[in-house]
Formats: sequence, structure tokens, C-alpha cells
Amino acid sequence: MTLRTISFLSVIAYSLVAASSGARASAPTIDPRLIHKTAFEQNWDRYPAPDEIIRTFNVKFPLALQQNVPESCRLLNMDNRGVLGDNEPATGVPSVSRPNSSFVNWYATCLVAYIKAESTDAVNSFYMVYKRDGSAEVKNRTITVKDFENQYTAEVVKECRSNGEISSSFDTNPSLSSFTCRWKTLSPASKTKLVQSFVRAAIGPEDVIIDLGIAPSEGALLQRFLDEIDRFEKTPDHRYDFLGQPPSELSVVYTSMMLKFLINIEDTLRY
Amino acid sequence: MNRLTTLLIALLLISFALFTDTAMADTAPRARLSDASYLRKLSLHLRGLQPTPAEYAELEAVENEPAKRQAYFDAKIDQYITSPHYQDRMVFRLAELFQLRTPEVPRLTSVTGPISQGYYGTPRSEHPDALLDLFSRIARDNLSWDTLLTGKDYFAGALTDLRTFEPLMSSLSDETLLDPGKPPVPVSFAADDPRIAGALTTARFLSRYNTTNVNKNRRRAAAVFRIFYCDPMSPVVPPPKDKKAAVLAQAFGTVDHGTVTEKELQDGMSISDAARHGGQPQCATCHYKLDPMGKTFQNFGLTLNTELAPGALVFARPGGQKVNVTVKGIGELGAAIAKTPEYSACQVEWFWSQLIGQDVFLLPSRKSELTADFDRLGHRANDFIRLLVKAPEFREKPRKIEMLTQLHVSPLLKRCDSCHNAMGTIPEFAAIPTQLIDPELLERMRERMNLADDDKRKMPRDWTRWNPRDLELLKRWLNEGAADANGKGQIKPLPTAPNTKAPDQGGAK
Repeated sequence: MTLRTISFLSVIAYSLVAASSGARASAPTIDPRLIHKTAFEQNWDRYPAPDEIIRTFNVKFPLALQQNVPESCRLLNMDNRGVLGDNEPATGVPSVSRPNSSFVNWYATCLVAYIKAESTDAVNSFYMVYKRDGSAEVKNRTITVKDFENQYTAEVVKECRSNGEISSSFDTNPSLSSFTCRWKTLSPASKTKLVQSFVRAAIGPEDVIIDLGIAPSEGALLQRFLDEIDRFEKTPDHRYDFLGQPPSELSVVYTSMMLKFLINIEDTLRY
Repeated sequence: MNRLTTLLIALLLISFALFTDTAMADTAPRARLSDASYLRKLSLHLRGLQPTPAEYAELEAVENEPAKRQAYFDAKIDQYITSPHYQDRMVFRLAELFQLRTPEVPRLTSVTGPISQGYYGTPRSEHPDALLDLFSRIARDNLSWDTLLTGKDYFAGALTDLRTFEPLMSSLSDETLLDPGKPPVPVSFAADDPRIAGALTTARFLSRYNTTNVNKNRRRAAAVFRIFYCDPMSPVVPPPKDKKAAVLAQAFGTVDHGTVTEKELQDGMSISDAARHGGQPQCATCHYKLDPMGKTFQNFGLTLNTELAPGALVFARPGGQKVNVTVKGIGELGAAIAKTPEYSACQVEWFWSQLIGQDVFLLPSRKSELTADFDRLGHRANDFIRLLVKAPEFREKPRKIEMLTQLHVSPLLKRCDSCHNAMGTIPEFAAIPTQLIDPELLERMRERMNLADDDKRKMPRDWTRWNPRDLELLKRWLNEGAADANGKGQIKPLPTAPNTKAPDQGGAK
């Protein structure tokens, strides 16, 4: 592991911790009643189960092709079982009782891998399916404008179009590369709507946010994310260089990646 | 006796009944989850996925119409339970119960068609071995939970499965056995075939719980007691420390055990009668159950036995009443287990821990009610899960635990029963909280738990494989004064005990 990677991971780890605890009034510890089996520990604390942790990436990154993500990020295998808190078959309990620094490294690495895969894969129009016997089949992949509307909300796509922020080829060949809309061209209402759509997909509506003690209201949580984006716009932050150099000007696509990065897994999966 | 006295006695009896059940519970009012949080909890518990934004929007649309809202939740529960993701969750849960390595889920194929339709991906339907396939079919087809013990139909996807069934089958050709690329083959036996017993006669179970000349299928029997009777079967007497590794290697089959007999092993190890596992009176607390059950697995290696081995299902009910059912063949054993009420009660506990939470105390009266429901529903897992996720306990808001009480540690105390109860040295912890613990015993437990690791009197002994975190919790409860179910200390707290909260608390909602 190079020094740059280590430094990068530590920055990610810092940002994960900051995102999960910095702006929250109460500590993010999970309530003891929130127990679920197949998890890090089976008494008192409830951490997301290994399969849920992996599944959540699929939900967060619907445009990423599975096969372009490292296997250890999309399957439970010998490399990640221990780190993710899978139960040791011999003892019936997890080998580690709670997420540790190895988990932070794994999560940060996989988060970036998924962000990269989604950023590049949504451009491709085909994908491979690997079969039980080891053979692979090429299949056509259809990305529609509707997919973008689902991901970025119909209102935002409509506003980008009316602002002339989307290339003319988008309607006939929708892909991330032709979805060139800039964040600053959006109205404040659309910006809020976009952030809200990501929060709702990952966490849920206001009642959930309040029930889980994530924020006193949905508005407060959205404002927290909007402030973070605003801070980035004023001073591009090296914490968000998951696609190479952080851009000097934010796009809607890049902002959405940043949001997926900022909404931490604990809030996504606690219940 | 006048009428007033009779009335007073009746009132006292009612008060006692309430005290021993509901009044001992954690009775502070609990807030209900909001509708959106309930939907989220349902989706995460049943599918391992969050609801989609569209589902939240649908719920919002019926927010002010109670009948429609209830219908919406009912429809969602049905939808989630029939989804392939639910099957995956159940396979995971069952793999954990059987202490197997969990599959490489989420086994998602890539999305097909428009991405918006395949938002969560589609899990594959087939499983690599007959046991995981059985787990998956129980969830997919809403089969009876008893299928784990009495099932006769399999899909043998792996060669090892076919080889396990081979001695009992006439129709398997050599080509089938030798072709590793062959798709899963359906393997069925007659409904009354006594040689077959669901999960217990699969290659995966037999290889996970292997046998040796020393353990003589007791390991398999211990797994059956753990899984189906919630009996942890902790060993009572350890092998001598200096030769522990060698004995374990022999006992658990990590060397060529085929050439070593039990006598040779014992002679070779020079273990005195007093120290030998099985040579002490307290060993009988487990072996009177394990040995007769182990015999029903006789001559099972990794392949099944064509002959029916005689054995018995033996265990003691709370209060000491012995159950002794003579069986011939593993199939009869499975059927006998499925008929016992203790099996139903244990499975209800398991479902409770999965859906409601292990630390939410299952009151005896509630447990009886749910066990009756489980029986009424024909032990069908999906139907019982439907019932549980509609139960008020599932809809309660998570609550911060202010103080460790007997309710929180009672599931842990039950572990002591398996070794000690039959020796008569402790009360029956399984009966807690309807039975209060003698303070002198609590003091003694605390003293023994706080001893140095190398002290021979220290409890529990290191070979009993307690989860360190469970131990820490139990010790902390004792050190803090062993509060009863109502939070009243039963013994004096230790001066150093932090008289505060449960471990790692915070995040109050």
C-alpha cells in the first residue's frame, strides 16, 4: 500500500467519522434494542449484517456494473468475512465484536470503487453475465432517461434540460457523459429536491430521520448536506477526490457522488 | 373462612400472578414507530433492503386512511415475504443457526432490461448444496419448519450431496455421479422413509458435524440439541490442559482417526478415570441425552446408512420429568423431535430473537401464546413471521436501556442450566424471572466469576466457549448489584462497579 493510498484512506476514514458524528447532537451509537442476527455482535448492539452492507452498495449505486467492482466489495468471501463481522461457523459468533479500522478501510475502498464504477459504467451499453459453469454472456444494457429521472429526480432533469445544460444527444442516447448539467445552474428548490431524493432513498422520509435520531427534522439534515456542498464549491476539498482531482466546478453527477459518500452506512442501515 | 378472607386470598393470588409475569416485565410505556419507520423496519428485516422512495410515497398517499394503510402494510408484508431477497435473508439466518459458512450472498445477477426495473438486482434462485437449497425452499414455498427435521425432498446440486444419498438410491447413474457440471438433480424419498430426516441427512450437515471413533456422533447429537432445543450443550469436564490439543485433534477428526480406537486414545493419553471426559458424574448432565441420540446416526460417515440404527430421544423437562422416545432410524428421530412442545418453544424463541430482538424479554405468558400460534399455523415459517412482524412488539420504538436488570441477563443465565442444573447446585435459571435468585448464590457467582483466570474455581470454565461480551455483561450485572426485573438490587454493588448504564450505551432516541 503506497503512502498516498494510506493517506487517502485515512482522509476517507476521517470523513466517515466526521460525517457520522460531527454535526449530530447525540453520539451515533446504535440503540441496544436494535439487534439483528448475522451481524457484528448479537447482544445489545446492532450493526449492519454483512450481506446488508454489501447489498446497500447495490441500492446506492444502481448504475454501477457489478462485475466492474472488486469481488471483495460485492460478495462475501474469505477476504472480507471477518472484517464485515460474519459469524465464525466454528463458534457461532463473529470474530470481531464491532467494526474496527479494517472495516473503515474496506468500506472506504469499496465506496470509492462503486463511485468509480458508476461514473464510468453508466456510459457503457453492454454488460457481462457470468454463469454457473464459468462462461460469460454479453447482454445489451438499456439506460433510459427514466433511469436518470429516478436517480436525479424528474424535476432536476427537466430544469437541466430547460437551462440548456444537457447535450442534445442525451434524449436519444442517455448516458452520464451526456448528462453534463452544472450544479450552480439549479435553483435552490431543485438543489434541495435533489439532496432530498438521495436522503429519502438512503435513509427515508422525515419520520424515519426523527425516529432514528439522525436529525431533529428532515430540513435540518438536508441543510447540513447543502452546507457541505456549499463549502466544497467555495473551496474544493481533497477529501472528495474519488474520481481523480476534485473538480473546480461541481456537476450534478459529481454532487450526487458526493452525497452518496456523505450519507453514511450506519444511517442507511440502522433500524 | 369468611368471604372477606376468601376475597383477600384471591386478590393476593392475582397480585402474585401479575407480579411474576407482567409486573416483572419492563412495563414503562413504549412509543410506536411511525408508519414510515415501520415500513422501513419491515423492508430491512424481511428483505435486507430499504424501501424505495416510491414505496414511501405510496404510504404517504394512504396516511390518513387507516383501513387502506393497514391493507397497504399487509400487501407489503406479502410482497416482501415472497421476494427472492427474503429467501436470501432466511438462508443467511438458517446458515447462522446451523453454524455454517454463510453463502456468498447477495448472489446478484446483473440487472436486466431497463435499470429502473431492476433497481435492486435479482438474486439467483439455485443454491450450491442440498442443505442451503432446503433452507431456501422453506422460505420460498412457505414449508413447515419441521421440514428441517422431516423433509424427504432435495435438490442435490453438489457432487458430495449425490454421494451422500447414493447408498439409498437405485436410479443414480455413474455418469450423474461423475459429471461435476451437472445441474441440480431432484432427489426424493417416500414420505415415511425412516432413513431420511431433512437437514440432518445432507452432506453439508454431516460434514459440518463430522464424527470420529471418539465422539461417536455425539457432536451431531449436540448440534441437534442446540438447534432444535436451544440447549447449548457445553462440555463440563475439560481434557488435561497439556494434552488438550492432541485430544481435540483426535476427537474432532483433524488427524486420521480411522486408525485410533477410543481405548487406544485413552490409554495413550494416560488420562485417569477421574479426569477423563465422561468419567465424572456431572458428565451425565449432557451424555444421558447425547449418547442415545448419537446412536441414530450410527454408521453415517459422509454417506447415509441403508440400515436403520436404533436410538432414542431423551431429555428432561423443567421439573425433572424425563422424556424417552425410542426410535429406529434418523427419520423417526426427526419426527419425534418435531412433535415435542420444547421444540416449538425453542423455535419461537429463535424467531423472536430474529425479528424482535434477543434482549426484548419474551415473557412466559407471551411465549406460550406465540408457541400456540406457531402450532396453530402448522409451523409454517412465513406465516409465523407474518404474525410476528404484525405484533405490537415489532412496532415498538427502540428504547435506551437505563440499567442492566435480570431481564437483560436472563438469556445468558440459562446457559448455566445445561451443566449445573442437573447437578442440583443452582436453581433452574430457565424459569427466571418467575423465580427469584437466592442472594447468597448471586454473591457466590460474582465471587467465582471475578477470580483470576488461572484459578481452578473460576466460572465459567474457559472451555465452555462463552462469548467474551456475554461474560462481560453478566459480570457487570453482578458487580452492579444484580438488579432484579424491577431494577432493585439483590446484592450489594461492588465499590468499583460503575452504577450507570448497559455497556456502550448512548444514542438515545
